[in-house]
Amino acid sequence: MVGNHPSLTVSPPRARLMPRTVAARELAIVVSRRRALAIKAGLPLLLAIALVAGHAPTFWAGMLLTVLVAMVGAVGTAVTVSRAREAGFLTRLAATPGSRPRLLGGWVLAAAAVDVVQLLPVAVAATVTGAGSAQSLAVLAVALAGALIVTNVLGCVITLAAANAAEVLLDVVVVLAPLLYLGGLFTGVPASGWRAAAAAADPFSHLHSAFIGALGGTPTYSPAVDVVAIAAAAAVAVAALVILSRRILERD
Amino acid sequence: MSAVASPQAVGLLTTPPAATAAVRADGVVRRYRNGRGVGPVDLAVGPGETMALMGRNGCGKTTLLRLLATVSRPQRGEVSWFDGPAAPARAHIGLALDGALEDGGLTGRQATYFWCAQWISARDEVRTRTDGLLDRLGLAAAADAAVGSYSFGMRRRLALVAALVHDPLLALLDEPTAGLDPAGCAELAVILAERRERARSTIVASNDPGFVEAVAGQVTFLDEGLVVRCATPQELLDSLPRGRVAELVTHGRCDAAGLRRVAGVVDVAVAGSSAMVRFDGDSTIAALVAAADAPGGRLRELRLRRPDLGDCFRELTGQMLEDGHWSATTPA
Repeated sequence: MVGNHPSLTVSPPRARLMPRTVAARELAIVVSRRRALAIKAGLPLLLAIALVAGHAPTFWAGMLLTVLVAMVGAVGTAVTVSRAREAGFLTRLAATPGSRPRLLGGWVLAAAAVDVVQLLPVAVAATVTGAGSAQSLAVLAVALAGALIVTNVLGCVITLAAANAAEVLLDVVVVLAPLLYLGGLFTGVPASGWRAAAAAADPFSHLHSAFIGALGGTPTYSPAVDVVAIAAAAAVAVAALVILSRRILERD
Repeated sequence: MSAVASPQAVGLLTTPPAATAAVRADGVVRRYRNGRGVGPVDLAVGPGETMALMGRNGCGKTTLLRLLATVSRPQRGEVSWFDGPAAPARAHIGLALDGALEDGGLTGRQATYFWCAQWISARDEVRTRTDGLLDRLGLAAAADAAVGSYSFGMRRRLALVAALVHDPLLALLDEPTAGLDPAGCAELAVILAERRERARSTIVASNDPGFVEAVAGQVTFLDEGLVVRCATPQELLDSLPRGRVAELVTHGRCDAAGLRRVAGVVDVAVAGSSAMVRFDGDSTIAALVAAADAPGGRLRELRLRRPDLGDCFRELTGQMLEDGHWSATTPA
């Protein structure tokens, strides 16, 4: 108890991380909410266990896991950034001397790191029982890292259009649904035509392919194509973040 | 990764250049689609000057603060800081926005440390400044408690600590006394006075007349995004007609017509059961009480005070600073 505030519980100061960067601050907040973190990591794991125990076909299991990655990455960041904007944190951050891309990049990195904590057990549980080769697991690791950068940047950018944290959930679905569809997650990728071209440029199509390979199925694309395409998408996402960082931070 | 710059790296000044305005706005306009916003506005805040922005809710105070804090860009006009552009000026700015509250997951010490580290790289100095200002604003005992367990007033104090912890050359504080108890307001006034002595400039957006009179060297009245008047508090108060103000609360609706008929009454503003009466002459008080109490037992509260900056604002704009459906009338 502190003063006349009985609800205040003080823990020793030395036990706490003193954050100097946006990334460290975000991680400190996540760590302080252990119950929320356990739920965030536990629910996707339950889904993965259900997929493994049910011997789901690799195409559908890969689809579900790709959708999970897309939602976890984009929703988490979009909601966090929207709430930070509502709380005035972004405005205060915009008044500091750090460069906008670095400030926002720190945020995306921290969010992606939290996503890894959430999704790593899922990926391990889903692939450990599959017949994927070591190479396909490595491709999946690269694809996951790239996809998390893409989805987290997407989450940041989507907040430019949303009026508040509640609306941003809808906006994320509105943006992700066509991307997932064009990636051939629900229908498969056609052999030719504009949808084949769209899928080839869609990072979620390549993440799906990587998941299928790691689960022991026949991937849609070759491992090299998956890695190059995801890396290119991540680079585009980082460039978009650099270009839009000022607008994201300074938006009213 | 956030940029953690050393004072030298960000060009942190320990003393502002003499005769250089900390911030200068020339014809700045920032209007939203609904017509709200601010501008065109001209203003300049010199070194060691404390300027207060006063005006009704929605008059553009926060929009103007955002412009002056480099976090928003004008549609027209120019803003300069220390005779330069925005980017290098951010090394010298501290901002506390109304409603900007710290995330509940951090402790007060962690939150303050984070903000201080955005300007100062030496860990020992960050720690010393963090502990010092938390202590001054009465948060030392709660510094290691989660911000989520803080009261509203404590969170507001924390926001002020975060804005002032690096001792910025230019601090912009939006409604700094909102949620603060009298002791907190008094301590803040002392801190702002010390800033003045060290040639630090401060802009406060506040509708607290007592606080503004205590801290501000210049007061800028804003109405519908435009500057109505800019002057020292004393000049503004001297511009008011002689007299005092009676604030009345009655059971049921105030009888504005009855109050207006009292000899010596200069003007009357009524909002429901509350009335604000400006009058001249001690003999008016008894007649006012009688008029407000009629037909008997209706008067609940009476407070006499000298005119303040809120009355100046009303004199200039015909509107009250406070929210509410006030209707002002003057005796025929």
